[in-house]
Amino acid sequence: MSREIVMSFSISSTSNIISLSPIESLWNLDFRISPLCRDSSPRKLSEMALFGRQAQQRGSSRYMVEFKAGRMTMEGSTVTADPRKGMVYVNKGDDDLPHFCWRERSATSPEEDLIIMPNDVELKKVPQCTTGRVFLLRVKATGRKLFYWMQEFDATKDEELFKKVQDCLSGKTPARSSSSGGDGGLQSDLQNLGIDDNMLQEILGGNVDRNQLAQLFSSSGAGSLLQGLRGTPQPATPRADATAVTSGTLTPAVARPTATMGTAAAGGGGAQGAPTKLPRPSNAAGKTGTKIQLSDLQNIFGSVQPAAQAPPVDWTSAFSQALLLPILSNPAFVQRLTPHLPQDALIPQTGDEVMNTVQSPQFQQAVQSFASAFETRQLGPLIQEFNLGTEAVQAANNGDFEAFVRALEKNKESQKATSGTGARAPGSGAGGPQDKPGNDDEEMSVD
Amino acid sequence: MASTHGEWCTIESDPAVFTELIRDFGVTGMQVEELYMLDESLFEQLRPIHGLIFLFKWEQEGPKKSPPKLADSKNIYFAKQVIHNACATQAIVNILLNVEHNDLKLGETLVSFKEFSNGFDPLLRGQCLSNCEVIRNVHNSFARNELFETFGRKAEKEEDVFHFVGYLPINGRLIELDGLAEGPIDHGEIPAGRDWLHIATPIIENRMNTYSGREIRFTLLALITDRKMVYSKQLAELQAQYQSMPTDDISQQIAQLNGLMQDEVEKERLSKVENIRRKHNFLPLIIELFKVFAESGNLKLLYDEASKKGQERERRNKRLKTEAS
Repeated sequence: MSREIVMSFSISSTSNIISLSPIESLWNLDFRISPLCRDSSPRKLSEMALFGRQAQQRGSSRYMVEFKAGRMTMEGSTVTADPRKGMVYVNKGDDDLPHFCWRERSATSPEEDLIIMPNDVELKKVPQCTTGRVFLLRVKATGRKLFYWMQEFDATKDEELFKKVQDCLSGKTPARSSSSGGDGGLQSDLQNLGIDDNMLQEILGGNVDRNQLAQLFSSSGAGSLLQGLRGTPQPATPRADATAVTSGTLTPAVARPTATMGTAAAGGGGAQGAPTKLPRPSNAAGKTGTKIQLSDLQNIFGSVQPAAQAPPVDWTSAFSQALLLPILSNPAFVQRLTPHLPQDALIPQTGDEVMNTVQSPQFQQAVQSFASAFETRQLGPLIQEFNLGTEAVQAANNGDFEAFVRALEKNKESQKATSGTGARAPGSGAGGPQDKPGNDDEEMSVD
Repeated sequence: MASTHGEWCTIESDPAVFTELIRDFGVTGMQVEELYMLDESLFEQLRPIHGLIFLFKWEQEGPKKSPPKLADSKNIYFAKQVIHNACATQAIVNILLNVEHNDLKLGETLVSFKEFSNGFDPLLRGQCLSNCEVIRNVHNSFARNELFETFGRKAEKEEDVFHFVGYLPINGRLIELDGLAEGPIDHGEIPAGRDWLHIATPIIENRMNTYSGREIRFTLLALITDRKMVYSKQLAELQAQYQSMPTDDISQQIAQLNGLMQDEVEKERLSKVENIRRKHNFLPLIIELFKVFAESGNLKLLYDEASKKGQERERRNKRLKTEAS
């Protein structure tokens, strides 16, 4: 892997640039954190406390490890604490590499996001600082140093947390999730069956990523089928386990035609073709010495009921600044959104305020709540109230966001057709959304 | 949504919520701040601290230790908790009715509530509190604008139960007010010349440690004197000093205090905005956003982003589940 991705470091628009010059001795540093607890920092939005947090991000840790800590900035030999409440967490990114992140606790996206290569960093407490609990993340390859100050109550846990972080960053899974954590669980399940990723890709026509597969397994009961396979006699070692599996365990009842498979794996698209062009991956099968037949696996997939399991959608963090900015640069849109802001002297009716509101934990909670309700398929009548067209109502009745999105896009088209340009946009239509028909047509032709 | 049928909603254990809550009860001179460290440097900035509210995830069967030592409740106002969701208000009211400080003005509602219920036993006081319409209405006004409560939010079936406990000094002793306990719990005398917070710190830390390893979250809130009141008192003194003897030092201090005052005003504004948002019905804005995104041709982008995040979330949840099992 190339060295370039060792440290892809991004800093948000704030002025907190951390010095890159390596410092030889920590003892030269002057730590300034006494005024850090100033709770009157005006920029700080008070963090969502327990109830909110709980509703907002179910379960305590959605990350590999997380704890409360603030960041520190370094200028010359002075390391100053940023008084904001923050949290450090390690998250596995799409690239499958651990990311070391810092964000303000009320924010949803990280201000610091470092991709970490295995064993490239060390994390340790800085004993030189006596006015607070400071720790240091040092990147071995570049000698870069990043400082943070602990905001956790309990100092006795620090070492444990550092160790967890270190474990995550060095590629080790933290102890508590080592049993069968996340993707690993699926992967090892499959490996136990003597199936590796390549085989799966072939089975599924090459277009399904592991997430979708994981979802398929977890959502539709295939997991338990797999469990059943795995649980067959003599599960002594993975190899033995896999060998013990014979197609006999797959009863005819399970082995149904594969026609439904396409739908089951619809998220991955292109899966429909899979059954017909299935090559026999003798290499993989031979390598692992498994007796399980690919057709058996196909049958498992085939028997999976789609169960109307819509792909998971998380709207809360989707309304990002990047996506909102182009919308809010259009005054006609702003004019339509502001009337739905809270009407109060303290809430300016501006595009900026729309941005602030949409980024606020309170709004995100509302979106979360809306999305959960939508998925229960009970919002049809409510959506009807908003005149979004019958297809949108139908999508709501099915709890299907993808169809809902399609319906809204179509709805826009038909409205355009009936109302003509300029009839709807408050500001005479100039600069309105209808000005880019090219884009829209392109979008539509995809359907 | 606010209910008139004697129900209590859960509210967020957020300092902004608590501060506005007690002000809506009619209390003046007080505010609530979050303590995110049990540390003298933090205490120093917030003094005077009149009481602490400790919030933690409540578990039915804790390790049964020896029963806590109950305090002589004669001079302590203690109401037992009879309704679960009321515990936030319960805890803060229990503290407020025991604080004796010149900065605190309880206001008509709480004064008459105390007078009315003072002669009752803790259980009956708790029932009185649960049935006090004024207090309940204020409490419920802080419920999140939950549009879809009736739709059975599937993910919250296993909703965690949180519990609030108050700590404060009463007549020279450190007292814990836990609405689920039989009475006020006595943590012993506060030695002369020592700050009660320093006595309370190890006790609370201890409590946190007993939950260690189970990833239990805590919030610690402090009832403190209204910062603006503190600052304007200090300002008045400094200005008087300055008039009799103007020095650079004093004018510098005045400038600094003015800065703090402005920060506090700004913070208060932000808290109010937060609370306004908490109570707002965002559904029309959500729908309008969807429409606007559709019209701009960006809805597909938004959806793609949402599914990307959704898949990430799914993965995390899966990981969590396997961890839990």
